[in-house]
Amino acid sequence: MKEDKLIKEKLSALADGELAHHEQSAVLSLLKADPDLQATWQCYHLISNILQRKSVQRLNPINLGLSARVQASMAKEAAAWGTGFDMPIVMNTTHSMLPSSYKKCD
Amino acid sequence: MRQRIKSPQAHVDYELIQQARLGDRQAFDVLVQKYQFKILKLVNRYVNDPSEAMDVAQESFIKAYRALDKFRGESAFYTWLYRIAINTAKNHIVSQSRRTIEADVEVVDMEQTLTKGNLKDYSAPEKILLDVEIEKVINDVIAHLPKELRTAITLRELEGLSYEEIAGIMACPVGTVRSRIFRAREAIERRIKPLLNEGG
Repeated sequence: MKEDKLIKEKLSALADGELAHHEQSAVLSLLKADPDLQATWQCYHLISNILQRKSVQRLNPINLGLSARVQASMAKEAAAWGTGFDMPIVMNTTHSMLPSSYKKCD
Repeated sequence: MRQRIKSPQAHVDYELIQQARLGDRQAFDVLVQKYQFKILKLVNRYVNDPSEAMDVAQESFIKAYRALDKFRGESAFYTWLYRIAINTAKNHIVSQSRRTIEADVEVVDMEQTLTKGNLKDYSAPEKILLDVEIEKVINDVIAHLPKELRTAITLRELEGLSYEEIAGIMACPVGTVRSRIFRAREAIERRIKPLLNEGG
């Protein structure tokens, strides 16, 4: 079997939660780096959702580019916060956005 | 993060969440690509307008990303995400009802938006037709698959059986089941990929 087919077979098993644990990290790394694999990943989930009658709807997030919009929004936020790199913005902080003079009213 | 991982699916999600929490946005994107169908469907139940539903779904994912540190793994990731999406949709409805008071003002804004050609047209008829078309193509491909592939994909997708259970029913090794399911998906993907033009 060609290498790319083997990877896609593993991706299919991953989508089903059936890929051996020791193989998961390698496939996830490939998936994150390869837009073609991501398209296949979305396709597998679309197939599942349609067959399981979970997503027979008017809106198709792939065609509407939902994933790309979320990515763009995250990148925009990261830039706006001046991080310039891929740090998640954590809400569970102790009012780090507030001025140091701020005192919580009890 | 306190974790109670029960299913293999949850294990995959957990690994991606851990990576996303360390700043790997691609890891979070893989989760978005996985759950976008369910979340958009869910939001669309509350928010009828397709354009607004897209905005609310997007906002839900962003909120989830921001709050990843709060996810403690006590429930499945989707359950957690589901709650965020529901709350976001409800908040959206409340804010929309407040905004109707200012509707007269907004009409002017809307006219300006239309003039500039910036209106997002997520309800375009061709997109609606496309989704129906995808469903038809999937069913058509499955109907014409070799029997072994059709049985394997049906037992997996419609009956929700594990690979091991399918192997028992089909009297074949688990590896064969994995291969058959993949080949069925590969055949479907080949036919529907031309219909999926992200962002198009």
